[in-house]
Amino acid sequence: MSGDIDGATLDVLLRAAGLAPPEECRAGIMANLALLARHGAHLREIDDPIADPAELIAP
Amino acid sequence: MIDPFNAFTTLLPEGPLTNGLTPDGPLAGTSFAAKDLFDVAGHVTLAGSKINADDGKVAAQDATLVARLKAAGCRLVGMTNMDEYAYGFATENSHYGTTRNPHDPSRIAGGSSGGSAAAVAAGLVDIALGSDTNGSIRVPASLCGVYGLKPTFGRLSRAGVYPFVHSLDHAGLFARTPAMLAAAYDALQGPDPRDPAQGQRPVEPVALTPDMPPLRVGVLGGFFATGAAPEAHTALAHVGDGLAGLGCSIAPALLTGASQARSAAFCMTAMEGGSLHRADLMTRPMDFDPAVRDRMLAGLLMPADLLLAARRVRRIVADQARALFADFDLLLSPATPCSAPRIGEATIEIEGQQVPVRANLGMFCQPISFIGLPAISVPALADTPLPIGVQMIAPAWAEARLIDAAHHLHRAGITGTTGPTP
Repeated sequence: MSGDIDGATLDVLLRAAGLAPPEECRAGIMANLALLARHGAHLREIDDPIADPAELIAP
Repeated sequence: MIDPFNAFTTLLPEGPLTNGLTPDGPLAGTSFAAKDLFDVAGHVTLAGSKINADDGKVAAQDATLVARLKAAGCRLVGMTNMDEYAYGFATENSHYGTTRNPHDPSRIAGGSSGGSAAAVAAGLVDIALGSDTNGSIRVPASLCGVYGLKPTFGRLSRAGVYPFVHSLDHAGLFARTPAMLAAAYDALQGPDPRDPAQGQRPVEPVALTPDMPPLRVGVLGGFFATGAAPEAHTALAHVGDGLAGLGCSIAPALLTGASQARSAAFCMTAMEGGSLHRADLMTRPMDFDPAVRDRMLAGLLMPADLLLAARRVRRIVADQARALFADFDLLLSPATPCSAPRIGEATIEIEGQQVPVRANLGMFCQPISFIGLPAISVPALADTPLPIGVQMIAPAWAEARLIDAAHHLHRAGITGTTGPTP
């Protein structure tokens, strides 16, 4: 999973998220999306969807 | 006071602003600085941002930890520089300038609590408060050659601390000696009704022992043994040998999910940090530091499922660490992969590869804060040209063990703070 996306895909993601950042942000966003995708794929290597991530919330 | 390293964003005059000071408290005669994300009554909490400065919201009361140090007799000198919204490891702030490393002003102090670490390293204050989400106390402590403690997640109150990633934010502190660290840490402990996320632990004072306990020390391998420059390995071996000389047993240890924990922390940070600042990212994105802005915007575009997966990985790796502590009392790793890079250096060379500074200085700290374990960066007095720290990690709530071990290392001359003296 390279995480690299093209401009059209970025437009779709931004629209879905309700974001419209200026043009000069796009390159930085795309670079960071690629990095996050790589880290995301890596963490999923040991993910167990049935593991309970709940934390105690004191009354 | 002169601030030659741009460690401070605000220097306070003596006088009325010392309100709350207890002149005969246990820290009487000492001084402290607070990272500029701790509320100080009557001041805008900048959090390294232009946005907070423009908004001009003045804190009505001190953050709990600021109030507690004052109540112990410690005088607040000022607020310190940081990466914008604590998102970075460099304290190269586009709004308030770069904090310089007191050991070599051409180099960074590290971040995000860089101003706090530099102020302590330069001898401008005795104690400094910082925050650590992914390494923001341990990284600058390592690069500035001081002691930096990140307690257990939930140990110290975060009330009045500007948030970055609620799931990962820790408050902690810097000092030049473990004894000073212990005294200040004791003053900071205790439940706080203002912080709903704090662990309900009583004050557990640090008792510095006369002799080093024979601890079982594990030196972390795997992820922690790769990606570091020679000086980091030198420092680690120096402290490991020192502990052995003090009567500890040393053996290799493995936290198998460390690399994935780092990745999970990376994703959680961008996603939660982005969510926190969503409104400003939508309406005034150009008021952010560009590097911070683009990472947070990217975090807002990631699927929610990834955040859930990251939370599950936290539980999995925390369980691995808990099992590891059946065999060890203390774990060791490098605190940072290298000593302080030069200001403006975008990449650092590690094992022949150029890697980004901002993303990688905290690589050995991130897996540990991600699972909430207490950790301290101790400044190794090893044969390295610049200071570099070693990370010591303990089981949850065993901060006293860390500080006591640091105390014995300090007393034996294995670790210590060099440079300007107060």
